[in-house]
Amino acid sequence: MATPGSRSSRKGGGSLGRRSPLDTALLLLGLLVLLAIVLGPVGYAVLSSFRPPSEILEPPHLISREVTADGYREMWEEQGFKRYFLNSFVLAAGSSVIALVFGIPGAYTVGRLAVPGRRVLFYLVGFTIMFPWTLLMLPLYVIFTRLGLYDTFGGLLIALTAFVQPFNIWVLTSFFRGMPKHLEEAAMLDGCSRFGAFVKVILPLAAPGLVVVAFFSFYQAWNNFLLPFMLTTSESVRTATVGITTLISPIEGFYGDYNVLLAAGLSTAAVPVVIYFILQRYVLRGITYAETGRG
Amino acid sequence: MTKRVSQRMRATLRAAWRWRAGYLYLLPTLLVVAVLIYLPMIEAIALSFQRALKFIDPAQYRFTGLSNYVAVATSPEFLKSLTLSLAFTGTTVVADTLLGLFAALLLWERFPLNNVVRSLVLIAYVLPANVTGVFWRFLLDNDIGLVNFLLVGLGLAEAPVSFFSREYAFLTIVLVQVWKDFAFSTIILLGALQQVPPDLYAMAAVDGAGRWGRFCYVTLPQIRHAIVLSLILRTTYNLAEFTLPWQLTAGGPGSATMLMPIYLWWKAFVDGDLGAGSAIGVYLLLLSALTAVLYLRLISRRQGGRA
Repeated sequence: MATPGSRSSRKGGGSLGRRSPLDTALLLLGLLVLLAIVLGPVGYAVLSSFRPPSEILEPPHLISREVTADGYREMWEEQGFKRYFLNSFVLAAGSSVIALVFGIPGAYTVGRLAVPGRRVLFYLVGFTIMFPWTLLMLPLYVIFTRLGLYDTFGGLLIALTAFVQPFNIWVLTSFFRGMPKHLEEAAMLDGCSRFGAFVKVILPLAAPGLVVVAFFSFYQAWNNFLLPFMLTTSESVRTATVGITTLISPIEGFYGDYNVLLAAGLSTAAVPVVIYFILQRYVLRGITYAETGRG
Repeated sequence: MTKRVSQRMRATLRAAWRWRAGYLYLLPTLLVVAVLIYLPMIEAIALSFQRALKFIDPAQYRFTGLSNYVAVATSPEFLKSLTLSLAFTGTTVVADTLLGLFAALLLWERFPLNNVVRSLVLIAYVLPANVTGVFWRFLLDNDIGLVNFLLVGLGLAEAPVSFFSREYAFLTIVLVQVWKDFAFSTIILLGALQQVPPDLYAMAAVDGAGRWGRFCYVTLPQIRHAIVLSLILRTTYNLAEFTLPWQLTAGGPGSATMLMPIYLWWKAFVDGDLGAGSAIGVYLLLLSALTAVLYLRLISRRQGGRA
């Protein structure tokens, strides 16, 4: 079978070799259990989100007596999620574009130019990937309050950019490094300057990879809860993830209708899941790149 | 000797001059990392040495030396949160890696639709953490939760389990965290499994190794590095995990699930003591750094042994 997300077909695969019928049965059982554990909860949430609140409060059952999209309609129109989704979208798109703009020059230099001292940047960034963001939320809160950025759209945009930037630089660097050598030299022989070669040769060739990196950043910023939770209070700058917490607080509990809550959660989760399915072959590689610093 | 050093230095300087434009490229990236990440980090450390309260003017923050560190470290709540955090991290990390390995071994086999199954198994990992928390609040509910319905229906429990009670809340946050993250380990381990040369299994078969023998003497040694990597990375992440446990229990009931990051949040944002919160954060940072150092030592020792 293929390696994670790539087309290359490996011979081996598995340690069982030629399987006996019992092996196959056990494999099938294992896979079914695995899928049930992962998909069961999500599937039941999807099912319930299309039920009226009264039916959700009944004991669990598989077949819905009534199917309704009321939960979705209410969270979108009455609970303000239309606005929260727009906010999340603009923030995630904005921070991923900004992170790309600031990440490309450094990543290009570290990945392709023999500039002395370039490793320093690589390590500085590498360290921040392992960084506990829980620690950063506190100084960010203090600094933002001081600068008048607390509870502003711009402030949150800056914070989310900071959040996605390390990963972004890390992947971009391995990406630029992996491109064929001598591309610039060839272009420079044809009379390009180094900068010209970068703009005319490297960037167009890198474009698909840059799109993938941007999508990763988008997904990370979209899923982030900590920063908008810590740095905003107003409804006008609320994101989708924080919007859900306004429906169900672990401290104050939950008073509303479950179908609205589930609809809001599923709609928010749908975005990263869709991105994941579009990019799955890269997701797997991206995670290994970023987490192991290989490549 | 000194001559060679100075020669090398001169060569470096010459190269640096030749690539002076390159530093210009580095500048925006360095700037953004320095201002957005390192500056707040320094601010966090500075705050930990000050009497800094949320509700007073920052101009009145006063340097108080190590008093935040001492006050935090000697409080029973902190010691409890440290214990809980270590227990949480230890159990989730081991469970992540074991379940991750189990899934990776299954997905490594060849079967139809392998790619599809692979994608589906990894879904939990990409869900937003707080949405995951909300789903499980629903699924683990006493009265309407699917899990209790199944437990009682299958005869595994006599009465519904109160997953969010003082007794079970810790177990609950561990289980949900593992549900969300084990696929991360699967990805790393599957990547390593695919690098194992198939010939090794043929050789092991010639030597008469059974299935268990092949696993112990071929598979495990070959993916040892990836297992260590999975353990270490999950340790640093799970030590700092805030969102999912917070959404599930917010540290409660009482302080039954008050992990260090949640305790930090309580201290800083609910009690309003930013200085103490920062000190907790620095302790957390030191713990993460310790894990990273252990990891580096492990790797370098192995490389030393190989050489």
